[in-house]
Amino acid sequence: VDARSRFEEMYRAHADAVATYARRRSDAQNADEVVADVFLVAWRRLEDVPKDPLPWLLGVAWRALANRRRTVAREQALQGRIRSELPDGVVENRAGNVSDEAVRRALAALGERDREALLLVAWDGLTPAQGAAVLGVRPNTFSTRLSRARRRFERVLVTERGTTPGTRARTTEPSR
Amino acid sequence: MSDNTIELIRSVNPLPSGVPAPPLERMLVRLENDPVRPLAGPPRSAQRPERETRWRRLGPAWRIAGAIATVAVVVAVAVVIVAGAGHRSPKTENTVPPVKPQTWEQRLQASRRALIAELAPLRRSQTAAERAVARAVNRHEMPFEEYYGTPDRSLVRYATTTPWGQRLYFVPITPWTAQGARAHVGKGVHAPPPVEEVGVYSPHGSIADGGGSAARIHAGTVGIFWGPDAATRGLMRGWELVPDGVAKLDYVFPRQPGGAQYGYPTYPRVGHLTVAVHGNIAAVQARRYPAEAQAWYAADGHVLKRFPAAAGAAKVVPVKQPGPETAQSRAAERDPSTPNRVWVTSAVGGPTTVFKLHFRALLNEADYGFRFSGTSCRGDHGFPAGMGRNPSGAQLLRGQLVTDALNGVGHCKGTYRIAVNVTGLEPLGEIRPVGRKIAARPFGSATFTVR
Repeated sequence: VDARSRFEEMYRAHADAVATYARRRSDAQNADEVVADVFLVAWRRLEDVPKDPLPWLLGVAWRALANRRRTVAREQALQGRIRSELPDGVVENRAGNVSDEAVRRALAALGERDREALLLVAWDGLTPAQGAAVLGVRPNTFSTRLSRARRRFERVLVTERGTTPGTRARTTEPSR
Repeated sequence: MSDNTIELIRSVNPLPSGVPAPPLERMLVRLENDPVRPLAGPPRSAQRPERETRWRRLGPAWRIAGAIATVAVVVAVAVVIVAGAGHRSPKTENTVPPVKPQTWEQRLQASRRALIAELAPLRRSQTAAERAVARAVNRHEMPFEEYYGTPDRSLVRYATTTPWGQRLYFVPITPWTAQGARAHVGKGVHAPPPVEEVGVYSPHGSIADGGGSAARIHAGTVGIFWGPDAATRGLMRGWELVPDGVAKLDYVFPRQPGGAQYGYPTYPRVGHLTVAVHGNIAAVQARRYPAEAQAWYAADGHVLKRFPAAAGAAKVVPVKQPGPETAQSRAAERDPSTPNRVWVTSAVGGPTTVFKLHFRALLNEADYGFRFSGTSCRGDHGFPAGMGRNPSGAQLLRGQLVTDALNGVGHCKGTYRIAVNVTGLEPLGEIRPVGRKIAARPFGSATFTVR
């Protein structure tokens, strides 16, 4: 299999996942650029891409997004970051004891690596081993971080809203 | 890893179902232009194992000797680089790949490939009908005479037919080189940038346009809107070019399309219209105007791009009103040459004096012209930019004091007489949807002297 065929096969198989990953953390235009950046790096370093490329690609995407954030909004407050990165059109107020806003605030209060560990598992459906590959850490380290992140998240949520996870009513899908 | 916390975080996932990536073709176009590893270049993967095998075949002594030689070469090269680069930091040298400057032709070809990657019709083969249109395209005909380039006939493709029956073709334009531009336009002309743009063409005298480069199409800034007028039966019409992957557009119609300008309507609510994309063109026809794109949607309904400019669509600002009607203004509506006082300040001045013309407008949004006489330095002068408008671009309404500096006057001595007339009536929202030119006699004159 020549380099071009391998690259095309990889793009067809994983570009949507990378686009979704980027779009969940950025606006549409930014996400397109991140996808292009990720696969440009993948093309240049095709020999370094492992057999299961998705975690590796998401790792590049994570760093690309971080670079963009640093460039574009260095001064942006942590509190506002998650909210601003979420795409428009997400339903703001749903029924339940814990609002989306409270969940987002609690996520925003976490450190970047803790938050990413939670989102990789919750949003992107990765296993701890895959999440570890994305963040460039050992699986055990990732599991520890995930556990710590979950505890911190729950603590922030309780402090903020006076509620505990699990008391929330079933939600609806976003309106898009 | 599924517990309440993870479920809770999952519930605020903004995209539970995922989104499609940009098409592979677009990525490949980018890779073709990659300065580090162009797509056509030899794959590095084919070379690396061979090198490693060769090392393994050598004995330990040779390996050590080879390593020492390699280190020596690296050190020597580093010394040469540091000496040659002076203050440049080694970090920059290591992290930034050398970018080979592209020639004019390479940049042009890259922009052409980018255009092909953005617009699906350009990627299919040309039909006989399209070849006939390509042969008939005349560079000296509108809209092509506005381009500094030649139609790229092999890329002429049918795009779509608008809801009002206008057939639209994509006609990419290859820009002239500096030499070509001089040959076509004359000396002193600036060469166009090496960017292939697509024009939108409608055969049989229907004209069209609203095209642009691949970058502008991708940014969502390529389109044209016109009307309402008699030709459009009182409708606003237009289209917008969109890249591949955009299936429909949401247009928003502001409550106050003319902003704070008099003569434009203020609607009771914001309007919305969803338009399907055919052949990379979203053609829109509506009773309200102007429309602003609010969002691009993919075929599966997810938002590809949002345009923040449409966010102020509900905003309503107070509109400046014209002064009260008078017998004189009513007469001017019937006859624009109805006498009206004109004066100049200063009445007397020197070569450096800035003389200013003044009069009080009797009409809404009229264009004015003035004619000098009385000295050997005579000629026609119009208002500088935007005839009949203030330099700020604001409307000229009835009762408003119009003031304009008479630039260029004062070069020669003598007494000047300036006569002012109405030369046209600008479109005024829905009150006067079509502008018209008129040639009325002067409504007033004034004199001033340069000493």
